[in-house]
Amino acid sequence: MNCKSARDLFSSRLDGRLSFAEERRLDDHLDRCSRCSAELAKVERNLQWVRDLPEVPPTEGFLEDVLLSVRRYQAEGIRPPEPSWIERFRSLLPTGWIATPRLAGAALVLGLAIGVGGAMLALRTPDPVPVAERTPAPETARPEAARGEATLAATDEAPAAGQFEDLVDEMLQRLESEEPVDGEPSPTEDLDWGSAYSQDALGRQVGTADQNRRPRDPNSRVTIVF
Amino acid sequence: MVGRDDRSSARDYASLSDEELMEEIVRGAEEAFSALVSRYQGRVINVVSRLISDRDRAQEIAQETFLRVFIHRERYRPSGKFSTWLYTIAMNLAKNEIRRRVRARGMVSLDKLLEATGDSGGFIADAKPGPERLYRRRDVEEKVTKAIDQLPPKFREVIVLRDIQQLSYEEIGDVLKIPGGTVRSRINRARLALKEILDPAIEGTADEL
Repeated sequence: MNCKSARDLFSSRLDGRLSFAEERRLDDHLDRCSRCSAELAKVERNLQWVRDLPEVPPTEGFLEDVLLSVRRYQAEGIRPPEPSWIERFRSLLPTGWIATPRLAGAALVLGLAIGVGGAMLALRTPDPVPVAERTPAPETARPEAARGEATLAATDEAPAAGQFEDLVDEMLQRLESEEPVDGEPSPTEDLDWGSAYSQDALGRQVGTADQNRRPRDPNSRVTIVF
Repeated sequence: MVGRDDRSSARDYASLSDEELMEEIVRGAEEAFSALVSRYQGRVINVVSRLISDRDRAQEIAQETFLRVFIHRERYRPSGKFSTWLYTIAMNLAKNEIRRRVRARGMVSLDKLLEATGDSGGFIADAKPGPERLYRRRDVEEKVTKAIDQLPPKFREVIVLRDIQQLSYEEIGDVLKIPGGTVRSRINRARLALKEILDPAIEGTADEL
C-alpha cells in the first residue's frame, strides 16, 4: 500500500468502516510511514475538535415562533415561496455549483437551442435530390408563399440534412422576385409571425397578415426568429 | 392549529418515533407537531448555522424548515427516515441562502462567504476550565469554525452532516442524493481539506487541549 491509498482510507478507519483486510494493510503501512501516521493523528484530532464544537442553541421562543408561523399559514395561507424555476434548475446541478440567474438562463437557452436544432435535424428525412436539381413548384400551387405566409414545414420537399440554409436562401430569392399585387405590400417585408394573426375569445381568426403589415420597405428582409 | 397547552400535550408524544409523530400530524394531532419541533429544533438550527455562519438567519431558516414540514406533511412517506427528509429540506434552504448571499455580493466563490457574512461563528459554550485554558479552547473553536467556513460547500456539507450531526454514511447519501462510494470519498477528502486549512492556523496553538 502506498501513501495515497493509505490516505484514502483515513476516514473509513476513523469511522470504523474498514474491513479486516483493509485494516491490516493500513496498519502495515502506518507502521512503516511516520508521515502518514502523523497525518492520520492530525485528522483524528481535528475530527474531535469539530465534534466538540458547541451546539448553537435555539433562540428563546423558537417553538412558539414556529407554531405562530403555522397558525398564520392556516389562517391566512401565508407560506414560504415555492422555489422559482431557476432554483429548480439549480437543484439539478451538482453540489457546489453557483448558478447566477444569467448563467442559468444562458445554459437553459443553450440547452433549448441544441434540443430544437437536434429535433429539426431528426425530423427531416434525407432528400436524395440535390437542391439545384429540384423543380420549384408552380407559383399557383403555392399561394401561401406569395402572400408571405410560407412556412418551412409547408414546402413540398423536406430539406436534407445540411440543406437548411440553401432552402432558406431559395425561399428568400423566390419571395424577392415576386411582384406584389397592387395594393398588397411586398412579401419581403418583416413578418411578425406572432402577431400576423390573432384569435378572439371564441378562437376565431381576426385580422390578417395584410392588416398587420407596416408600410412597404424595399430594403427589409424576412426575419425568422426561433 | 395548536392548542394553548402545547407544551404539556407535547410531553405525551415524546415517546413516539418520528415516523409515528408524522402520522399523528397528518391525522390532525396538532400537539404532535410541537413534539417534533422540540425534538429537532436544536439539530436543525445547528446544521444551518454551521452551513451559513449566521446564527440569526439560521433561526429563521430553521423556522421555515419546520413550516415546510407542516405544509408538506402529507408528502412524507414513512418508508423513509423522517430525519433524512427533514435534513434534506434544511440543507436545501441553507444552500439557497448561501447562493443568495453570493449573488448579492457578486462573489464567484463560496470561499469568501466568511468575509461576506461577517459572522465568523465562534459559537462558544460555557466552559469551566481556567481562564488560560478557556481562552485557548475558544481560540481553537474559532479557528475550527473558520476552517469549516472556508471549505468548499460540498465538503462543508459532509463535515456538518457527518462530524457535527453524526449522521451515518447512508443517511448522508440519502440527504445529499449521492451514492455510497461518493459519500465515503467525499468525507475523506473533506477531512483532509480541513486539515490543510487548519494545520497552519492551529500549529502550536492548542496541543494541550
